[in-house]
Amino acid sequence: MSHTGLIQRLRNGEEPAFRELVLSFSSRLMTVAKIYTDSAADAEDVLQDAFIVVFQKVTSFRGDNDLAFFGWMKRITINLAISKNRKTYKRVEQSLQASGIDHPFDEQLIAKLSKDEIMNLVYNLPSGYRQVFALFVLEGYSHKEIAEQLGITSSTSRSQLVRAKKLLQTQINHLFKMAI
Amino acid sequence: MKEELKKIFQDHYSETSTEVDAAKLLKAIAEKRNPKTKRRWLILLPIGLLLPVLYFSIVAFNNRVPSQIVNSIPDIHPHTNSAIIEQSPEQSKVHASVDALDETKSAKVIVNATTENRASDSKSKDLQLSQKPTAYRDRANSKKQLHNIKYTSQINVKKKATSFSKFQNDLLVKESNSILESPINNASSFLAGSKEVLTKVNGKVAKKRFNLAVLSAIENIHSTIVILQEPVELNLTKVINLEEVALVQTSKVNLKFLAGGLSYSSSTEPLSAIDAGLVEAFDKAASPFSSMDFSIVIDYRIDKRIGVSVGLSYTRLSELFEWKDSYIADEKGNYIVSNTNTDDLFYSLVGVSSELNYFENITREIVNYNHQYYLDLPITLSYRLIDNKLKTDIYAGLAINLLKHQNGYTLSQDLVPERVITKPAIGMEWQIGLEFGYELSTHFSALLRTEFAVRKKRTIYDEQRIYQPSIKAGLGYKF
Repeated sequence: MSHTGLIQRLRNGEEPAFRELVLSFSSRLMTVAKIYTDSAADAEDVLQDAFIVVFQKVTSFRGDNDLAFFGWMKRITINLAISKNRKTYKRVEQSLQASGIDHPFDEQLIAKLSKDEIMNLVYNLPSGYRQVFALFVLEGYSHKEIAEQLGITSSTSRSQLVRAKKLLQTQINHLFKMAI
Repeated sequence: MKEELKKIFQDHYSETSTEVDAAKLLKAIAEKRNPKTKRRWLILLPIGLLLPVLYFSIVAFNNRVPSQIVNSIPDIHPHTNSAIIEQSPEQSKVHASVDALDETKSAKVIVNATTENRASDSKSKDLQLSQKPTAYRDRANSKKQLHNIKYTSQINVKKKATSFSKFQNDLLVKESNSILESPINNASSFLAGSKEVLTKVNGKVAKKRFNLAVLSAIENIHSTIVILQEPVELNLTKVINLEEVALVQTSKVNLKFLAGGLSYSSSTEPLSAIDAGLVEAFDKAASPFSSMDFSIVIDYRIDKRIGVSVGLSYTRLSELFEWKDSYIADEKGNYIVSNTNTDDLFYSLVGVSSELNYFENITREIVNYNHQYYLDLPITLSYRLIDNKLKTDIYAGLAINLLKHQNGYTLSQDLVPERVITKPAIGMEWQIGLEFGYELSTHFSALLRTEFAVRKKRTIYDEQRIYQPSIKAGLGYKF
């Protein structure tokens, strides 16, 4: 379903269009917000703020397709979440030591997991691990970019990713043991 | 991590939807966009307080007695001396001599009055005096039957006027040839009362408490005996020429006009405090500048120490808004993220991923003023600390915002300045202060107020507290 008309109506400042925007994108953006925040309440708060910002700035959006529009909203949501948790990152940085050793993932096990199971594993990662993991794996940023976004060093970013993956692997193994 | 594995995560991530209570979300967004004041009782409470204040102010205003008419206050000052006024009709003057009041708080009254009655009538009337005055017929005019009657009577100054209205009716004093005259008809007793009045004695204005009494015993007496009793400083042998005594009846109602201003909230938060971690970036964006205030206040003195007041004040707060904004736009010019914090942030953009090969740093400068406008209805309670010519009151109260809105710039959640005109809203604020009043004349006084108010300033995201110290100067008029 194309939202080109919706974008135009939002630009016109139509309130019903704002409602439609929220109904159409809240579920997907909530997934984004949940990954980058530490609690459900924070995620809801970020989501609310994100929609307000989108509505206020939609006139400056110059894209013309749904993908660009969603990408734009997603970036705003992530920005807000990172701003909200900026202090968290610094705390995490202080508690981590660089490791640099990549931890192997068992692809076969992961392939057997459902979509919800995988996302729950990601949600349940500790805050610092989760955000680095999400930015690296899900958003495709380099460690340098992640380090600059979060105000940490590249080596810290690497070490957090390693630990995140290690923890994920442990949780996946545990999940299968429980299933057996 | 292998690309295949990444793709598994990315696919799941992009396909995952989290259940959201849309109605709750919409409601929360609506509240953020249009916050409502829920404390309506805080508005109703002062309105409830305001109504009786207004009522008593109106009653006091309506019941005020014209300045020519001497008013009474039922309670008598506990320690009083008495002034006995002797009237000399022939000279069209009223002289007063002062006599001491003994410890029994009674006044010795000696009255010289002229009557048009026949001696016999006068005598008969004399007998009706309940206060047992002794009348002397000192001199008689054969035709007019003018008698100079001298009364000596004890007035119990504790005796209250029977009622204000009665007293007012009995004492229809009017000025004529500098004589306080009153046709006294058929009353047969002394009416006594006390009144704090402004007097002008020998060109000097002073506020003193007088006890007043009127002899309303004899028909057709064209003179009024006014006994002035003063608690302090009355020279017992001093003769007061009533021509110089202006009994000015002043009400308990003051009208005040005040204007002033000052800077405010030197430690104010920036306009849009959405993230404590970015406060430093906001600090240079907005700074407090000045306030301007005009007030009209009606003050009602409940007693010597306590007063209540209501008013209407218009306040404008201005702040200098300087913002050098820099932000990153994508290849189409879409805003991505603000870059106002540090240069490092320029490269730390979520939106500038390795997949994007174009972005633009856009810089702009804004220098402007923000104005917040308030139309308040302040209601305060005051306590008089010093009560002499220079009066000092401490007061505290609240103010209902009849109108509150902002016109200017605020910072968006992305640190971008945005033009904003907030809708007028009703709110509540608090104030405390000291008022100094110097009596310039009977009715006028110069006022100086130092005030500290706690206000609230609304931005598009938040409502912030403002601390507003101010100095106001003005003029007071006492009715």
